[in-house]
Amino acid sequence: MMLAGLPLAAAAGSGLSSMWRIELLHPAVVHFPVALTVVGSLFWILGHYRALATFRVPAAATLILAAAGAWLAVQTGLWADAEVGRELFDPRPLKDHENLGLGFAWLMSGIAVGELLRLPGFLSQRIRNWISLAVGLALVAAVVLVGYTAHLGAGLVYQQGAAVGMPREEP
Amino acid sequence: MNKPIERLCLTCILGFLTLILAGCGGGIDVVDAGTYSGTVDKAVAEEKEIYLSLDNGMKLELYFTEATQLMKGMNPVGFAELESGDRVEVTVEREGNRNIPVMVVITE
Repeated sequence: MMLAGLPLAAAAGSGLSSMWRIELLHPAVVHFPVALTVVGSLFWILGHYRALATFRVPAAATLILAAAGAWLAVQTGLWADAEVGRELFDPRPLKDHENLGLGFAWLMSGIAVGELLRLPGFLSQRIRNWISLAVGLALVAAVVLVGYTAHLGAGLVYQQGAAVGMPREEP
Repeated sequence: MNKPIERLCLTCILGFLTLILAGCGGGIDVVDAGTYSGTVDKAVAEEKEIYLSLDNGMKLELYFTEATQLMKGMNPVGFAELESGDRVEVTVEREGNRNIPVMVVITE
């Protein structure tokens, strides 16, 4: 089969597990919202300097993409949970990872809405300043939250071998 | 300055924070092997999984195995019989830091 020649697929008889497993969609997706949140926050800060105001629109776009990516990560995470949840040595970090990931997705959704409301033309400058303050505080919380959630997720892989397919001799 | 809109914005922000806290939910616990009483918070048929609040305040997430027995009174029943709010008595084993249900009896 043609796929067998690709580095992504396990060659027949190689003893390697397939890379085409539904639980592997989550690690393929989850790094995007993490990176977009960090980069979007940086753009957001830069956009507050008058000389760098051109960063404002890219910041909003990046943070909205981060919110969409967060929900995609939640869904792929639920698919992964269905495959690996019952095999873990300690399921408690998985539950914390799931709960905090869901909280992060909600937080990013709030930030995305805040960024849209901050666009000129909808609300008065005073109200946009209030929203800006709320978004700024929420971004600090989001970066901390995504960092800790990612730490828990990494622990599931590197401490408990979640979704890791070990090579084995085939007869 | 528009005070009502300002209040609406603050209400929305507080609403989002509430949603986030609700979304974060609570964690789960691990107990020693034994028999415990509690209430089913949620039963997930596709994964044959239940969430339980034990009478001692702890929360368990239990995945049924091929060997798990589910009874209603003295009669064996299917997983579909389990519903949120059911009172149950569960006998669990402990493997590592996870609990495996050996027997679940629906008492009410």
